[in-house]
Amino acid sequence: MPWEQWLYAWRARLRGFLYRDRADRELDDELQYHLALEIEARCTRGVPRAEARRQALAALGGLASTREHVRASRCGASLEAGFRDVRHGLRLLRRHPGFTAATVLTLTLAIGATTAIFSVVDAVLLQPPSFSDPERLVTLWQTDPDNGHRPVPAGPADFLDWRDRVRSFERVAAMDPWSLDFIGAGEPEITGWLVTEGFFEMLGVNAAHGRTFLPEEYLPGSGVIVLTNGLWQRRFGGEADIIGRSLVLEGEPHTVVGVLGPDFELGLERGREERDFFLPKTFSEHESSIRGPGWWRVMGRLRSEVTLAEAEAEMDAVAARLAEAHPRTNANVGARVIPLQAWQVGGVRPSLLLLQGAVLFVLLIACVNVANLMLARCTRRAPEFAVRMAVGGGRGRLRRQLLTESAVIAALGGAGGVAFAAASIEAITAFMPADVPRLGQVAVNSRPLGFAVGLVGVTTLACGMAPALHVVRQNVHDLLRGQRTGANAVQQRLRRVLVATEVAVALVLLVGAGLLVQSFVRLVNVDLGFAPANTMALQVFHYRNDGLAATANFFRETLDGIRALPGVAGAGAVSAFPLGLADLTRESLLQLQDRASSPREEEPSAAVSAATPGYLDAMGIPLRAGRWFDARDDAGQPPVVVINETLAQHHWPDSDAIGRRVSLSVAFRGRIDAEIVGVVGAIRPGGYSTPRRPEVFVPHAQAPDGSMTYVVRTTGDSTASVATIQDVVWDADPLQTFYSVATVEQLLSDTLAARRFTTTLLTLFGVAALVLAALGIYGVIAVATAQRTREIGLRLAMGAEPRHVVGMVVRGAIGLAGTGVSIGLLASLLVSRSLRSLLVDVAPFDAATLAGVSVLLFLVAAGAAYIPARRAARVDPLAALRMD
Amino acid sequence: MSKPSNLVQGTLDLLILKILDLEPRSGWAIGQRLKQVSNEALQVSDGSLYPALHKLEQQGWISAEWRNTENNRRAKIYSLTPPGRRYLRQEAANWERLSQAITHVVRLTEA
Repeated sequence: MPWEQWLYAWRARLRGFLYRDRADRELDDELQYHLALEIEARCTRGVPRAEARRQALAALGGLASTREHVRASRCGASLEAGFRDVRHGLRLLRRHPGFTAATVLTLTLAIGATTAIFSVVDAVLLQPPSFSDPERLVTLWQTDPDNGHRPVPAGPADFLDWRDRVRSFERVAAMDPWSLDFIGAGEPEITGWLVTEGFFEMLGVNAAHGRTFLPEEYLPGSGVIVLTNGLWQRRFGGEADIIGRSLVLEGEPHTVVGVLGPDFELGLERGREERDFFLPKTFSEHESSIRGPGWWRVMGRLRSEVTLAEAEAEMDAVAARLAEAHPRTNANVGARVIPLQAWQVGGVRPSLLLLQGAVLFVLLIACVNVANLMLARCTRRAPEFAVRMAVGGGRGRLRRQLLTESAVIAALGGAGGVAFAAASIEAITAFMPADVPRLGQVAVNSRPLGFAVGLVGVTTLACGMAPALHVVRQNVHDLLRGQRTGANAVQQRLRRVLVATEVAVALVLLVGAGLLVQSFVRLVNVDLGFAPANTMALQVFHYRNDGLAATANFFRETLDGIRALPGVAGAGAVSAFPLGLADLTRESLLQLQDRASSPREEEPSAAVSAATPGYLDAMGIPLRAGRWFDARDDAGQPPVVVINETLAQHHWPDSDAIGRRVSLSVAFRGRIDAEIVGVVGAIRPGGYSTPRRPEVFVPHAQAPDGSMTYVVRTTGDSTASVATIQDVVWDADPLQTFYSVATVEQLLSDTLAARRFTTTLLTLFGVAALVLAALGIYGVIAVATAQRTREIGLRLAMGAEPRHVVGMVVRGAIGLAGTGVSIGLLASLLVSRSLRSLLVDVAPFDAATLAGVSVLLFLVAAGAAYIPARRAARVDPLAALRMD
Repeated sequence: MSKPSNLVQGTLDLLILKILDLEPRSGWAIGQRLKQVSNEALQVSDGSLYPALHKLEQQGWISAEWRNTENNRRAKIYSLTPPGRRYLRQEAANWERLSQAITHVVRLTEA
């Protein structure tokens, strides 16, 4: 169509379509004008007015029919037919409230849950970090040969080498977690990062208010600070005059030069919330010489032309060069490059993908149920369809109407689902582990909405296809004569297939949920090796300039004070607290006297921590042999250690470890040669899922570490004593801050947050699938038995016992479930494998779980069939036989 | 749904376009003119005229506007659009060719 004609055509079409009412009115005016002139013309020829009007109308062929013909010739006529279908569909839904409620509610819940999970997946996994070109941002780590080559933060000197030597990166910057005393309202301490020059430029972040640091401000003594939006809102109520204000932090004035935007989220630390400020940092000469795995988190921005693999190769080469040049610190120390986004979401990715898959399965079952209900209704509407087809209504038209009805149901369910998703988002994110990145950004916004619209489309087809195709197969003559048997058999078979599918999908979900629940139960029943109840953990970093003895004294005195508090049953402190937020574990190679383990084995190593007297009892760790530390083990005495049973049993399986000597390296002491004075039980250091490991304890008085966690066991609720415990510490040092204060039970529970989230949601989905499958079975059996009423009546009349009838119906349902269960078992063999990474002590093909879930489904099938079966058995034989 | 037309499909469109080629008219005037010029030989029912008019409008061949007529009535006046005028010329030529050919064939078989 040439553009000019197109222009005229579309103006007319749009007017007709958009202003349909006005177009209709104008058409009426036009026809009235025509009639008026026509009547006038006839009147002037002497025809009486009434007759003239009749003739004019007849010539036109009637007003109404002309109007219809004009409308049909209009563009968008088929759209109008669509609207009519929608109206018809809505009318039908209004007339059958039970059917409407069942289908719309089912889809609301299913689409709602799917959309809600997608919102989380979208914000957490699919949205890149909110930095410019986020795919080029990477985290850089050293790998620690003493720690299973885990990625760990780097030493400052190695970071400087990376920054200056590695050419793959545009910029490299390092950060170190930091905290500052902030006396004022709210929390007495705020946490943040020390960052090296170019940090914000590397991220590509500007301040939302004010600015970030100038290059010269990275020099010591600049006294400037950048705040996050969170801190600004929380502590300063978002006051506009924050820029330029001087805050006294840690006794020093700090000028606020900038506030970051609300969407700034680094997401670098798993297991804790975002930090709140940034301070500029330049390494001192001493710091610049420290090599090997350290404490600086390093991030870099890849040059645009450099691939991740190239960067990794270069980092490996640099690590190898450093290892050669500095064998004492960097031998076997590698380097890792992990994209920022992968680092952020590494922990939750498998869980979220699993849940998204599971909830799609639930949606599938919901669709099958709705399809089933629609099919059942088709049977009841067969006379309507028959008449429509008999008077020339095309099958295509009928099919379209059925699909439109399904679309109306899906759209209502979708609208409800979006509302449901929006309402449940808060509950879901609150329930998720707090360290998942971008949780605050989870919302049903444009992408989840688009996803929901897509779901409505898919749901329309999934629910409407079976009924629509089914109508085509039906024979008009059979339908009209009321002979529905042939078509019904087809329909009933279709419905059975659908229900078997439901059972299969429900089985897969329930098996997955069962495996996760079992893993969870096994985990929480694991022997931790310590007693978490009624215990508080308070972590402090106490560093002072007046010598190690002063540090030892500080902890001895404060612990004495805490033990004297009412309600305190025991107190101690340890350097590497097992559930600590920061992993402060030090590893040391050991030389063991007379060890019985294979001499060809690698040099043994163990985690070394400093502990005070009283720690063992406060933590509830059992003493196996010898003794724990006491006041005697001070700096003036020969070094002693206590080892755990894992270490003892491995190296001296048949003899006593007590009295043997071990050489190890200890913080602040260097290499020491110590006597083993005790053996204690082994604990799971990171909570339930971590394995026991060899451990060595040294007396704190002999190795006075400043990073310690007080462990206080109380006789009652331990949280009640927090204030008095802190008072004791503040009496000794008024400026001492607490890095974290929590009950041990809370810390343990936090380690399970991700698993609890996944397990609970998957179980919910499994139960939803089970309920939907039960409804599906009930529906199919109810319709099937209703159709067999005559046959059942005949059986009863012939003397069949009602319980035989019940048995017959229930057996039918169990057969149906059996098909589904067989398919489901096969499917779950395929699917469960993807669960492997989330399972603990349970095989993906756990026979007990598979059998248990199968039995459950059979029972539910039998239960669902029992209701229609009882109804059938109560049929009056005479009434049944007189039917039709 | 059968269309009330006893004309060859498309012929009515051509006639309407031709009538509008002379001057813009209302639907009623087009009907009058049709009867007049075809000496009432072409029985165009008023009922089929309006669907045809609206279809032509939506195809962009003609456009319509409301005007006051001499007897103070508001009438919808149709006129040819420039593409409609080109279309008419093309269709008229086609029609002539076709009718000549048909006439030729009809005479041939009669002879």
